[in-house]
Amino acid sequence: MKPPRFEYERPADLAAVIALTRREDIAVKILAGGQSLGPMLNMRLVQPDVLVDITGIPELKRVEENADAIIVGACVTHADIEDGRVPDVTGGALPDVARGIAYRAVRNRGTLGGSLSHADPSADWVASLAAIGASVLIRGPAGSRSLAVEDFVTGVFEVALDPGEILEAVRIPRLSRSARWGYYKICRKTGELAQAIGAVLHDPERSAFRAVIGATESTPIVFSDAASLFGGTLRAGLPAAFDAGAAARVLSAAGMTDPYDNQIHVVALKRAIDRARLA
Amino acid sequence: VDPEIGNVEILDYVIVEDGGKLVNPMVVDGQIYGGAAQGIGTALYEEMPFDASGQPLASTFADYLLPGPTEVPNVRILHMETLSPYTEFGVKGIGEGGAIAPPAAITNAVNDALRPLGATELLQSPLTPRRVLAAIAAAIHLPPPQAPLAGKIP
Repeated sequence: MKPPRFEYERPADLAAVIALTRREDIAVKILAGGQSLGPMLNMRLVQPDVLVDITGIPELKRVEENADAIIVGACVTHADIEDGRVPDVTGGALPDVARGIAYRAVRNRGTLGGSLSHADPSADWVASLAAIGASVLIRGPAGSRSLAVEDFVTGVFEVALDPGEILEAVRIPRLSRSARWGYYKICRKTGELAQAIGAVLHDPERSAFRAVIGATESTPIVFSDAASLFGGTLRAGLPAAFDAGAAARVLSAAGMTDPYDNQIHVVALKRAIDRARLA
Repeated sequence: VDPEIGNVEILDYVIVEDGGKLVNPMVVDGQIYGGAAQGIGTALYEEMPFDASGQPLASTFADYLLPGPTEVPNVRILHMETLSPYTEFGVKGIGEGGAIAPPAAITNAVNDALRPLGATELLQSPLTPRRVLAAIAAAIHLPPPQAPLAGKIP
């Protein structure tokens, strides 16, 4: 199928983008890598009046590094992270996640900001960046603001962006040398969207112990204090006993009552933890 | 068979056919590879379920899964050439080791893998992870076999 007729704009700066997206008389969709939006246009799941291509805006490809974090522009691609063109402050965690996204052809064009703004529940960045403790930088008509990733993604394909606002960059914290990271996803076919994702970050030097169960039918389930899954408090070493029953109960309480779905999501988290242990 | 998530991975696959005199061996191998890929789809991935009100649940390729290069293993093909006495050049048919055998071969392999658990034989295609896990769960919770009652046929 082909998309319905639309107008196309490729502004040179963010102010022009915001001027277009805040308009209420036209339906606007932002185009970055087009790896999710393209098929949606072709299947007529979205029918915008204007496509605003943001790939011509230099500041959206910027990468800034400081002592605590890197700030990655929204149009940085998955391949940029996989290939190491973006400095890695996560001890290899993010390049490993990037490497597993879809196929290389998709990774060449798909962007970090696009993936987060699209907010597919099964997206790798949605779950992994929530687990890492990343935040998004939003620019809008009223200025700039920042949100934790898990607060930015509010539902299935829903994000906390007001009219005229755009995700400008992602802030990724610099992990300690001793941090442990584990990520595991379950797919029926390699390269397809995940059926279940588990992610865990254990970084006691920064008092961070976070776990995420992703690819639920809704927003990812974030354990901002993952010690609760191990029946204890944050300690220097990764605790031995993972309480699978506690994870299963949290999933059921969040609405995941089908035994098969519940089981594979618990297993995804368990295997992410096993990988963190081996890190 | 991954017993925690029910996924099945094919580690090795060998197909032996006797096509009599092979007229074009490259075409024969191509036919067998293609048929094997289709058979793997039947065995593990492809299904068109309907819900209680008759709505199709797999209406796009997002739900109707076709095997791709990462799902089809490196099939090893061997040939026997027993000439038919009835045909010109002794040719016979080819390709049936492709599409027809995989559902049976793969299901038998999975049943063999689950046998130590005492699982009931799976006889359905595709062997989705959900069905594999259900068979494992049922096996683990099966009550121990009852002794036959006196005088009754066991």
